[in-house]
Amino acid sequence: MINEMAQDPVLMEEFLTESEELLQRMDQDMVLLETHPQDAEILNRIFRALHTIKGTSGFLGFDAIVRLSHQAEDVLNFLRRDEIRVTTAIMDALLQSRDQLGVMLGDIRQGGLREYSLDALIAELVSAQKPAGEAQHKAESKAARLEKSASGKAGSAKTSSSGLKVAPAPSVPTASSVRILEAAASVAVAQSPAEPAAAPRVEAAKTTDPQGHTLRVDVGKLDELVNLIGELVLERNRLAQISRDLTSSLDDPRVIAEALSLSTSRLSFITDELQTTGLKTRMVPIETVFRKFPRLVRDVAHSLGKDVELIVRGEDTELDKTMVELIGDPLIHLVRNSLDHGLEMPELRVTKGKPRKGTIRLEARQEGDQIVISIRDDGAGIDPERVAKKAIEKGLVTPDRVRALSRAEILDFIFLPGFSTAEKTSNLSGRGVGMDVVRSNLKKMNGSVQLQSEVGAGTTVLLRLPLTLAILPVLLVRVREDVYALPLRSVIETARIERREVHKVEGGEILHLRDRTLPLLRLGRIFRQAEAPDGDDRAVILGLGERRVALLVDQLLGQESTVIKPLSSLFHHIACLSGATISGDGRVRLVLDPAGILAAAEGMHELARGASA
Amino acid sequence: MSATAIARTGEELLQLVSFRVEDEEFGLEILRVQEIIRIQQLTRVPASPAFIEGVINLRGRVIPVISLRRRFGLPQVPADKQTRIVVVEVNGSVLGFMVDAVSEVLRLPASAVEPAPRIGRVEREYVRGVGKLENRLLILLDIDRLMSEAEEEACVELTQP
Repeated sequence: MINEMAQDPVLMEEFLTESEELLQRMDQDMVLLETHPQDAEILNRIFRALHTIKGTSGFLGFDAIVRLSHQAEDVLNFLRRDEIRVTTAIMDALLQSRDQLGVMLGDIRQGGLREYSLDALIAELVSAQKPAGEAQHKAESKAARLEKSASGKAGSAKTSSSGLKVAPAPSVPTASSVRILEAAASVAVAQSPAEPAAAPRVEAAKTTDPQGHTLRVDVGKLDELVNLIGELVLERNRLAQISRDLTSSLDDPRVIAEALSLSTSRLSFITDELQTTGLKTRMVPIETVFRKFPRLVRDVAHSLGKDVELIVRGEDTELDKTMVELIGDPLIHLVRNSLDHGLEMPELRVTKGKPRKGTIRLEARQEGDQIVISIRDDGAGIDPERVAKKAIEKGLVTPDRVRALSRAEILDFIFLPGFSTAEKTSNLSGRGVGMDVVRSNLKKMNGSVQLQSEVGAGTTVLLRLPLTLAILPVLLVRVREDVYALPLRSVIETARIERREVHKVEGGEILHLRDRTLPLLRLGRIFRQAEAPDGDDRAVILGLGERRVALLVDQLLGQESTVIKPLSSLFHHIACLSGATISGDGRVRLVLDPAGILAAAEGMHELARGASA
Repeated sequence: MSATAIARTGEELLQLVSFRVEDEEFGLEILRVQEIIRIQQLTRVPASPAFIEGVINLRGRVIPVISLRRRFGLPQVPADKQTRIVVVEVNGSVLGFMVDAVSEVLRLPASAVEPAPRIGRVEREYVRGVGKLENRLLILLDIDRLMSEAEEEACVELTQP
């Protein structure tokens, strides 16, 4: 029976969040254990995590969880005592148990435990407890023990062993919630002053969203936030004083003016800091995403018969919570691609003189105001000729055009919808959801994706993301009477251009800049406005991956860090706009979408080519 | 305007904000109106449908402003001191309607509203009814209808090259 503790939403949220975190870490640790079977520290970590889940579940009355985790715990105990050895079969059973626990926790979130047929899994765990080829009597005694625990309705007997029932009844709720809080190392909330802790706790209680819209925030960040709010209050008091002085006009107006200007400059400093700190509270380490991968790589590599080592670096790189949620799927897709299409079968690798074991390197780092995530494999690489052939077959490009394209431009075809070079589709990748989805997901986050590949040596995919979704450094430009904002990260350079560098070609204009030829675009043309007399002599070179376009503008107005606001759905079909910002004078500035502009430029040139062909 | 209100007063009263576009007077249920603001610096949105005047900054929110003159195909006039933006929520999004002037808040018995004949240049499907005042007529606008059709038109207009 589920006891009344399980009715307490705060307690339940704590239990679920904690257990889910433990399970995630356990996933990683279990895969690690398989490759480092002698590492007692890993083994102990898994054991402790499982024990914590078992203990709390027992206390809350989730008997099915207790029953399963108890058996898994026994297997771990045998491993700890060196009575059995780590084998793939044992790890499979343990990983399956972990997954099953995850399912159960998910069901609890959805409303409660269901009926589970755990017998097969438990039998597997029990057989794992048998040292391979050892005496029969030990296994029998084991079986007897299992029967006893099963018939004894698991829960009650096991709970007492976890020590929770020892506490006298009235004090149980507090004891348990403190214990839950303390168990997760990152929850500093419990030790923090009551005030800052209140906010996330309340939120945690309110939300029951399975996606986990709650956030564990480092107390240091919250303290900083509270300090800044304190300063804000002080500054408000100062302003109030100035206002009183003005009314009574006791002071010299000049003195008041000086005080006012001092106060506003302090105020702007505080609000800037407040904004930065506020955003920092939303930052979480990318580890929460990377954690999934050791398991994923293990399972997929096993099923493909490939030998793969996953190297993960930069797990502590922080990025916005929203971004962490959005980046998961594209990453899974890319890693699966590497496993499936990138890395060769072990035998083939050996004949090519490569190490039998393939390597996938997943790395995150911060570069300026961007986060760069790279997925690198030492596999077969992507053959541009095959890509070109496929692109021609699919009618994405004409054979004539291909000859004029650079290697990088050809590889870029991979990101077009409906493109897949996989000769046979497997159940892993090449299912039609391809790289175009990765690119469009990245675009949603104001990021970009870039591909580098060398035949025989491997492929690297670089994902670039802004640090946060909210703040965007932009370049303000004037085009006739309108001012637009261009995301700075897509601006490669700005140039003063001369008329003789611009050439009319079919479908538009091109710009010769140093030794490069770029499509040239006038905003008026995209927006189908009447052509204005030539006045523009400034070009902003925009770049996404390897693609470039020159955008003609009348004036560069400077840079600004802005907060991006969504535009009404009435404007969503305008491809070249991605949002709006509000500038210092309170006016709305439209934010141009570099990807849309590039597409428009390419579309125009494409149209002309089609017409001439 | 609930059933109980009718029962209590014996007759349902409509509370309306009335405004003027060209020489027609319109009414909008007061509960739909969030606020009425003076005209302010508009930012044009290129390639947007013709009836959209631009976007404005409403205390940090960027909202589109729709010109009712343009929507009804009336000639353009420069904004003056009387010009107002009526801020309304339609289908969950906030937007502004630019009108020539806002006249007053008035009460109208429901019985004084009649189904719409075809009036002037305003197409009948956007009209919920016509309210009879002492010596004038008030057109009750159906803004949900007006906007959902506007949005459809916007999509069609822009997907065609």
